[in-house]
Amino acid sequence: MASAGSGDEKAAAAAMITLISSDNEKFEVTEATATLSQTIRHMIEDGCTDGGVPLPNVTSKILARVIEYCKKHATAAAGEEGSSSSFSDAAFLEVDRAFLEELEEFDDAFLEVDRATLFDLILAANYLDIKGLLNLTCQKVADSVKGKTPEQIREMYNIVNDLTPEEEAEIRRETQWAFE
Amino acid sequence: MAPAAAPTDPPLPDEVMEDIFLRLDDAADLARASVACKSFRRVVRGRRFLCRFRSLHPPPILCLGSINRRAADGYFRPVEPPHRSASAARALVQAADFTFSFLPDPQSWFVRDARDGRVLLSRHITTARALVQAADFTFSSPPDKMKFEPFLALACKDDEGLSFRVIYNVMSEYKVVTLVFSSVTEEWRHATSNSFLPHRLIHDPTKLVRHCSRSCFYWAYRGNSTTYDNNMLVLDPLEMKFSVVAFLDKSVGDRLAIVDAGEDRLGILAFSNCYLKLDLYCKTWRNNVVCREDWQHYKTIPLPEHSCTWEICSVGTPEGYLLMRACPKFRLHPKELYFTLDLKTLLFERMYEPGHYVDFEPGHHVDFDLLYASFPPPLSPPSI
Repeated sequence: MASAGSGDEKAAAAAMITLISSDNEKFEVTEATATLSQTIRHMIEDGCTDGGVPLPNVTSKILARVIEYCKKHATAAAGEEGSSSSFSDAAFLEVDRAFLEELEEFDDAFLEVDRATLFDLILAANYLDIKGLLNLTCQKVADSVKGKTPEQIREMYNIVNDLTPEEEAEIRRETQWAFE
Repeated sequence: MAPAAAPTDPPLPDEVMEDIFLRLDDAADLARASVACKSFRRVVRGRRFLCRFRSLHPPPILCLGSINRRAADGYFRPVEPPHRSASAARALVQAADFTFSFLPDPQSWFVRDARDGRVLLSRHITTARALVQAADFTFSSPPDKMKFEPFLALACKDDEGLSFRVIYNVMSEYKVVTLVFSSVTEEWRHATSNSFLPHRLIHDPTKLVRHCSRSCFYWAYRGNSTTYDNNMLVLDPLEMKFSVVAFLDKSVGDRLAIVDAGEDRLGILAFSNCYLKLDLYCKTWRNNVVCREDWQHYKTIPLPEHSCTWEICSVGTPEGYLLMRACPKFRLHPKELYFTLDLKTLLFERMYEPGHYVDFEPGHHVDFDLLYASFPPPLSPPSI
């Protein structure tokens, strides 16, 4: 269970937070991992994390992925802070670059998910206010839309065309230049 | 994974859709996405979203224009294929009235400037004199020895991107007076006057050429001539302060451009080597204070078409592009070609080829010297 004493710096560093998914699964994570989410950070600051943090909008499947992302990026953040004092500049840069490369590879692999999972991750990142994850997932969707026709976009994202034929004809006429 | 049978996704909230669409750099991608469904269209057409999109992405160059031409003659030409913005440019020209027929007495207006998707028109330059005198300034010089210049300045930052400023600069041999119009207050106010300029800096104001970059305005004589002072005058439009900067201490051609050359660098672009190359000279420029160091040769930029006579046409580069013209040599009836030089990437792009021959129809010959950048409709800002 989450330890009390959030006022004590040292205790806080080792403190664990329990996250509870919509299907009632419990995940125990360090505070450093959890606070990548601004939403949870605020809850910790307000002292309302005792007894776990219920996340009714996030399923256990998605929460597990989100935690995986946060763990990786929390270690990266900690590594950056720690290494700046203990390495020489050159060594620090070297370690830093290796770390960034590893992180990039992790992010690329992390995005290898189906469309539904990608959307769920976006929703979770938005709800939990995890900037890095939201950036990553939104960029993936934006990149996939580039150079595509409306039909391809609909097919890719399972979008029902709810425009009337007249409406669609009008928008197409207005944006004709984008189709030439 | 299961395409047809998959249930419809939970719709993403509008703010997330906005976040995704803001990441599209090309306006055409955005326009196509808006055709996918109702909610996409709603998000893309949202006024707030479009303001954010326009503030994050520079508008594409869509037209070439000509300064000091009669507005009613409509000297705005859309960029042509194979340029990627050609179809957007055509859509813009069809939607906008570039002959300005909605103005009272359209024949009396002249195009003075274009910037941030706006075109500045004015009628008689003598109104400036009245304006300046109303602001209690008297000039001892006759009008033909003075320079009257209205131009658009960097718009003040606002949410909608609808406000703008016009600067009216009046120069005589002894004095510079600058007035500023703000669309927010809808008033002209006297911004600065300066009568203590270095000796002979403005020996002949009518021969001074105005250059403008994204951030500042500069006045320099063509090339560098021993007749005149080897300094240029710089106006910082945010602080409305003039300063004097030493010009390139080297003989360069007649046509040159003063540009933003990236991070903290002021640049001069000039031809070298019989018009086969452009040289970029730079000087450090931080917080509008120029370092005392001399101009350094920074880069040489080869020109894309050989056996052409090249010219720099732009009066300014506020959108980050320099307009250039190439005229083939050794042809009986040469046709000009217009190119832009992207000041960030230093790449040339072919923009426009006038339909006539250079020497064939003298009455029809127009020198384009203005670039007009905007988003095509329906992504363009609302008109006032």
